Amino acid sequence: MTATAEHAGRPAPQRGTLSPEPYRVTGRRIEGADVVTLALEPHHGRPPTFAHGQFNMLTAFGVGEIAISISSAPGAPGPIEHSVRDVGAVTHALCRTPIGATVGVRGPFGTHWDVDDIEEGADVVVVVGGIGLAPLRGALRDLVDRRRAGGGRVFVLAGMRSPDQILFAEDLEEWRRSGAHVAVTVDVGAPGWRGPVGVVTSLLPDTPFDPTRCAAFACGPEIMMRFAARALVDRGVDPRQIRVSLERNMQCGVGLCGHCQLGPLLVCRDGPVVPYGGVADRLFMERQR
Amino acid sequence: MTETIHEIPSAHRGRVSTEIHGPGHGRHILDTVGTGQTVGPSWAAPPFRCQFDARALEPVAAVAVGSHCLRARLGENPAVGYALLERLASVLIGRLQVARVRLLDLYGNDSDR
Repeated sequence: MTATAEHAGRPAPQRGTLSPEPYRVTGRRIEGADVVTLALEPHHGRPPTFAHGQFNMLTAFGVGEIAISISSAPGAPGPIEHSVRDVGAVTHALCRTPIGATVGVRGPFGTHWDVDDIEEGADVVVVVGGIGLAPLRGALRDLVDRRRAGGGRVFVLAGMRSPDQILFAEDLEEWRRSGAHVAVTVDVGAPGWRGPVGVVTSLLPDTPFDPTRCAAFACGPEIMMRFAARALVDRGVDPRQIRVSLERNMQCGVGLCGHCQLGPLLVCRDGPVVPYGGVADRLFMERQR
Repeated sequence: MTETIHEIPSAHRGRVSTEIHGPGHGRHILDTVGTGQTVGPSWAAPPFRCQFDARALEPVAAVAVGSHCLRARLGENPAVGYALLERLASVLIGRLQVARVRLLDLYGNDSDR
């Protein structure tokens, strides 16, 4: 895969590319202290097709617009989902949006997790931190289904802040029941927590994947992804088989405004999902905004 | 806690937490170590004092080595001593880096900081 706009199989931006389409909030689920998942359906017609890892620009009318990854699976029946973390004015407004209210949606934009390009039978290692699980939630559902149907093994390594802030705990448990290797570590332990305490990379030594035949996806804070990717490479994973999801100040979503430029990339168009080997490994060393 | 170390525990199998107790706060889990990892490195340098508690979180098989004896042997055989301390330094550097990263509270909300 190359970090350009010509990613094969990626759905092209459709209607609603430059002006937001009205979507109704049909569901609202509190995932944690500051994370809410919104289920959205368009006022008219069906939502556009999208791929794992792509994002939409969500508008809280009168407040602003922000890039949020789609956290449901492509093709899944029902509304599309976005998991929003309350970190600023726009996300705060989105998190407080009640069922029945209207938000604006532009997209989908960006590159995707290329789960269809994974070698048949190869292991898949997914390393996530905090809300970084959201953009991989749909892909993981697909991968776990494929595993059930005889596909490669799936390993989910999740780093969370504390036991009471484990996001998508029901999904993690369901994937575990479905045969995926799921391990969760927390930065801050608590009485009663009997799992690992430490950074997510500390889970790698006890994870029995085959580094010579595996694909890896990492999503979370950029510092976490840098350490995770290096640890995967140290374990023997080919850097070209590692994908990471970059996050920058996306605004237009179509590579015109330049706000999300990172080195040679416009992250909204050429990312957010990029290869680690040959692309993100260099970009992680950039010292910029 | 804060006792002179006489033995070096190393988890052969199972998970062990490193903890510290605070009045009114109960126990704080600092980190956990798993199979094949050294529980604590304080035996290696003066004042050879335990600083934290260790708790088995699940059935654990551990190996304990007498620290007085080991230090004496390492002093008699500097080549072995160097090799062992080099490995220990690798463990310590890893833990220091992890501790620094965790201080960043990467998954925390900026408004909490």
